[in-house]
Amino acid sequence: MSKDHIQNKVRTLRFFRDEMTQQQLADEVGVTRQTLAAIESGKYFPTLELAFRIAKVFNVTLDEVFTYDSSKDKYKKRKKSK
Amino acid sequence: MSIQIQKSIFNLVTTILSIGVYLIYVFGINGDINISKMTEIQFWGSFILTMTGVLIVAKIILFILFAIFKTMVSGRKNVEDLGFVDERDKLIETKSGRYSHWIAIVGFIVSMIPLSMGYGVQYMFLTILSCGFIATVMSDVWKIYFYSKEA
Repeated sequence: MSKDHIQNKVRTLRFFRDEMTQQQLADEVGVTRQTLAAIESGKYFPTLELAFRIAKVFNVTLDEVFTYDSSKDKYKKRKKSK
Repeated sequence: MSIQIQKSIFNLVTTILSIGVYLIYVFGINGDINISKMTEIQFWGSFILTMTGVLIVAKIILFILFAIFKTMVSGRKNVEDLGFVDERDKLIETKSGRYSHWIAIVGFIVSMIPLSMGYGVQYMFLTILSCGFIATVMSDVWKIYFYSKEA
């Protein structure tokens, strides 16, 4: 399943935060560096809680860190029961 | 190599080694006594209970040695928290656990085939234990795969 409908700007935000390292951010939000690397590369989508924590570290809103493109999201809608 | 992959490889190796050593002890060193008892349910009961105890103790001892080794290699200040798990670790644990549980369940059902065909009880236990071993090994293999490829 393609996962390109959710993008993130964590790498960019780290850059503008005095080149904050992955380890520093990972320590701040309470995950391993590997998890943060997976989030940045789009291999793993964090929980809402972790997403909020990341946004809080950079003092931005959630949609400034994660963007969602509904046109690329291929999901099946549930059929309405009669 | 990340600490999670190292832990999975360590688990995989220690599982194979511990079970291998136990099997050599039971069916190799004490094979003369134990092989003749394989048709008895009592033997399999004590075999599984002893193996569970041996594996738990062996895993604890080997994990302590692994932690000491990691501290010596990386230094006291740089040592990573081996017990730390985050949400991705839990997700991978759940995924690999789910797949290995399927192997264990299929193994249990397959083990009923020799029993229903009238073969000895040892074939049932051998099938269950083999599938249990494969499930344990595959759990670590899937963890390594998920950590290196995706989440």
